[in-house]
Amino acid sequence: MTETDPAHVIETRGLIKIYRMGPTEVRALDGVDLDVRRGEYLSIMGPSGSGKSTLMNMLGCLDSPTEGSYRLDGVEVSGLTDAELAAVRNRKIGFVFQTFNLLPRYTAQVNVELPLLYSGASRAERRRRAHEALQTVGLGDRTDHRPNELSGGQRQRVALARALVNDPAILLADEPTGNLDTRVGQEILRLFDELHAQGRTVVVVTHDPEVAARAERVVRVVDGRIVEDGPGARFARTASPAPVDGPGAG
Amino acid sequence: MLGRKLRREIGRQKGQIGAVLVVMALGISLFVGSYAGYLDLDASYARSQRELRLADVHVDVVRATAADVARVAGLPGVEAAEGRVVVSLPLVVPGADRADGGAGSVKVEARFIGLPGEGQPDHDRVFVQRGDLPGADDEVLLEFHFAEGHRISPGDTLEVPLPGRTAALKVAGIAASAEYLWVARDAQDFMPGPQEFGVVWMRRDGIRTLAEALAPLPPPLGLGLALAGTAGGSAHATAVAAEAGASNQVLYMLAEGADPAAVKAAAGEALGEGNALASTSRDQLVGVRLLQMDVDGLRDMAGFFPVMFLAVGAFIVAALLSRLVDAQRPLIGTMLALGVPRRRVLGHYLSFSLGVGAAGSVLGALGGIALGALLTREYARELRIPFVSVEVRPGLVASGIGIGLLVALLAGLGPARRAAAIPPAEAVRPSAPPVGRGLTLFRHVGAGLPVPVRMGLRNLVRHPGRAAATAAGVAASLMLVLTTSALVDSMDRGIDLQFQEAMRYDLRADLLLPQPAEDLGGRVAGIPGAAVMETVLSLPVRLSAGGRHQDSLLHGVPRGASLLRSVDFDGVERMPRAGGVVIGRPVATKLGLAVGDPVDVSLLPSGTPRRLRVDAVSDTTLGGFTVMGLEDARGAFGLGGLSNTVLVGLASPGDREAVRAALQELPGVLRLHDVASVRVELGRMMGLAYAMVGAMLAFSVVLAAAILFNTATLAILERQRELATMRAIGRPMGSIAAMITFENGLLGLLGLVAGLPLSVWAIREALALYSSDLFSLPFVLTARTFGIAALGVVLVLLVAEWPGLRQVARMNLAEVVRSREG
Repeated sequence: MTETDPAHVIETRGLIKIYRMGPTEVRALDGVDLDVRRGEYLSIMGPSGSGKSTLMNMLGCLDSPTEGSYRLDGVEVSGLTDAELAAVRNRKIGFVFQTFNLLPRYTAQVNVELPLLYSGASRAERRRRAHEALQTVGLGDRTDHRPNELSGGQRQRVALARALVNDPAILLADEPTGNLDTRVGQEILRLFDELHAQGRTVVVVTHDPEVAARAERVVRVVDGRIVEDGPGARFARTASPAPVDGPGAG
Repeated sequence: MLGRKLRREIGRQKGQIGAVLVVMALGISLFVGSYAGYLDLDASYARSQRELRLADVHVDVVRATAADVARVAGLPGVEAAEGRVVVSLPLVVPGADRADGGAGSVKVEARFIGLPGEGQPDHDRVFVQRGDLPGADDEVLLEFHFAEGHRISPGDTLEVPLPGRTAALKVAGIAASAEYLWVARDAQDFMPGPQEFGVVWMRRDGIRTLAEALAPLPPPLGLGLALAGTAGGSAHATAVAAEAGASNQVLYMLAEGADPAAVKAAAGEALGEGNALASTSRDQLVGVRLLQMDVDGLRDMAGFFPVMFLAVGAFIVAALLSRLVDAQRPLIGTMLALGVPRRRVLGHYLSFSLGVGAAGSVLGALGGIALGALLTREYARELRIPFVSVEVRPGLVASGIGIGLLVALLAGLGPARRAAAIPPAEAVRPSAPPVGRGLTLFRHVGAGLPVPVRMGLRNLVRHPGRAAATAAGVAASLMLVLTTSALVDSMDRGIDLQFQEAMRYDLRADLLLPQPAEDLGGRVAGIPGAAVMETVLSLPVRLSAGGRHQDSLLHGVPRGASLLRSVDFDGVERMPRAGGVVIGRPVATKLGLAVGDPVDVSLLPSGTPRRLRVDAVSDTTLGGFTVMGLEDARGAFGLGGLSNTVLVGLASPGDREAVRAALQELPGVLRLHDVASVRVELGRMMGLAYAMVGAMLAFSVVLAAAILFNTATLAILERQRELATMRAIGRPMGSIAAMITFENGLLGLLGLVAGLPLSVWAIREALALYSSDLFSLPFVLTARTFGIAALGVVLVLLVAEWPGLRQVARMNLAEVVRSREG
């Protein structure tokens, strides 16, 4: 790929990921072409073993493709070194994990400050921006609480504030409501809607059709390929509730 | 199910299990090996002494007749007694290869010990290793260190210079003796090289023939008995040796159950008033004592090092098991909920620590058996121990394995009990971060610190026990390295003080009898290459105070002397005023003397005591010397104008051979002492010391590496998810490495800070251990040594954390960040 469309924050071409398990080769991704526009709200769905988690790992720069190209915010990331990938993750991607992945011994404020710490922001700036991010997710009054002093929904909001604090190019959420009850899950999804409305690019990986349906666009992955790509609303009408894969699988 | 998970966990922690196995195995190996070596050598020495009938008591006497000896033999409590002659004579080894690289004939002081006309003596027998016992009066048997030092074989010929001629002596054989396994001339000269001193056995009649030829030398100025048995002259001993049937040493064996003190008193009486000079029990013979000190060192090692290794091993086992219990918490809870009894959970985790302990102990015991055998074999070879006892001691091996198992059991008990006590409902939830007083305090104190610093500090505070144990491990490693290195520094300094500051001559000639100093001066001044010459007195004396006695060598040194000075450990020269003496610390301690106290000094063997004053107590490397002004000493002991030792400083090292040769030819020279040869001997000794330091260093590196590797990898394993999250949100690997290094650096720093006073204490203890009335060393700890040791520990720390960091770098981020907590 030589030409890039500045409107696209994600562009993948011919993305292939092969895992070798002894003598067996598993083709987890088999030539994925995917464009995501700036400000788009995209859900990636698929049954267990479909390759959706592998795709999420590639998009999140947590793993490297065996073949193919991946441009994130105009930067070709498929050939970057480990240190360069760390910098890309820090500046361009905001992660929200199913299991929150907060550092249990630190306050909400410090947890949100961490990405800024790694990007070299000054102490005053870190404090200010982390506080703002926590206010954005409605936790301005919980800055000094540790994760074990917060509810599941509040923990996920802290994780969301941490994802937003560096003003990333994309917000990448992996089963963000998987560990939350329905009511709290809906609150988190409303936050995603708000962020999208503010112009953020949001990519959610989920097995839940209800969650997927809140996105403006849904792609379905089966056997490492994108087999369906369409508006979320339409997908919600056609989605079948089964098969359902477990959290973290796929 | 627990078992399968346990096996999987073990598989994941192969490195740490390997580390703990190495540490435990080394600990048990050192215990079994050193102790087996100690027991074997102790048994070998005892057996050699028994087989060769080393006498229970050696009594130096002025003169004993066959009747005197018979009286001692007949005393109650005496099993057998025997008289013999021991006399020092000059011996020339023609065409000798010297250890200092020189060649040509060498004149040494040979201690001739009398043998009966046929066969072995009843006491102090010899073990002939090559050749035979002397078959004629002009044949000799050489002690093997001496023979080996000069590459002498049976059939070679040596010479004794006699007035107007030389007596040729044929070497009949090479032998070892229980008394001279460690060859010491006396308490002041306990490590003479073969270029200076050797032990020679000869038929009593052969010695009489030599002594008769020497005896006509007139005892000057009526010295008579005064210089008997001295290093510098043995006129009296020679006179006794020239007399048929007379002895100057009586040996006896105690009967079973005899009271040694009572027998000693009775023997003194039987030998006549003033005849018995010194009575030395077998374990107090200089060579036997030194050998015992040496072998006792092995016993101490069997206690010290294994404790350190096993403590570190226990710490690693406990830390590993704690981590396993944490990792398996949900599973333990499930098993308990399903009705598995708690004692089974307890047994399960204990079996892990016992398994590791058993494997380490068995490996260690096997290594220990080999190590013990190696130690004994090497010692036996080096010292030529005649009768070697090597045993595999099942009791010792079982003790080693038992200790290993006990340590493992104790180490595993805490975590195993914790696992068994987990309430099932709580176990299935992830464990909450620990909250303790330390952490609460830290929250307040650490609040103002930068986040990376807080992160590093927090990881220490949240496992204070582990942090303390790691710091203790670093401190112990530093102590090991520093103590051994400081010992070398102390030896270097002690040797420097002795040879650069105190004994500054190149060559020393000891005379058989004192001679007028002016004549000596004139003769030596004529030797080309002898740049500086001083004459001194070297007199064997007995110091007495408060009813206690101590023998010593008194140096009468001219004021302003440059070649022989009395220099303290602090480098200051201490010379007595008129009527005063400077004594060594061991002598002062033994006699309870302080500066200003009176002390009676008499020439050995039976001189009149002179009341003198202690002007200074000096700490010196060789502790047995007493110093007096030369003129003062001459006046006090009636030796006006005489000297019996000539000291020479060379114009250049190239003159050594010529000056040596000329000094050897001076009339009345008993032996020549060449500082270069002594330095070669010392160099050999220091080589051994360096080898020991190398071994200690290797041990401390293994210890430090094991403990730091364990801490670093555990800290990483426990925080895998946390570290993966950090990496996922963009923390560079270098920054994570820096954080872990910072944590380990803090632990290292804590260890170094704690280790320094510990090391100072250990160095002082080690110096005290090595100090005796024969030898002591100054305390030296240089900044350089500390710097190198600290740097070494830090380097080990950096290397030890490397596997853990590699693990973080290779972490499957995608997998770890998506895993559940717990």
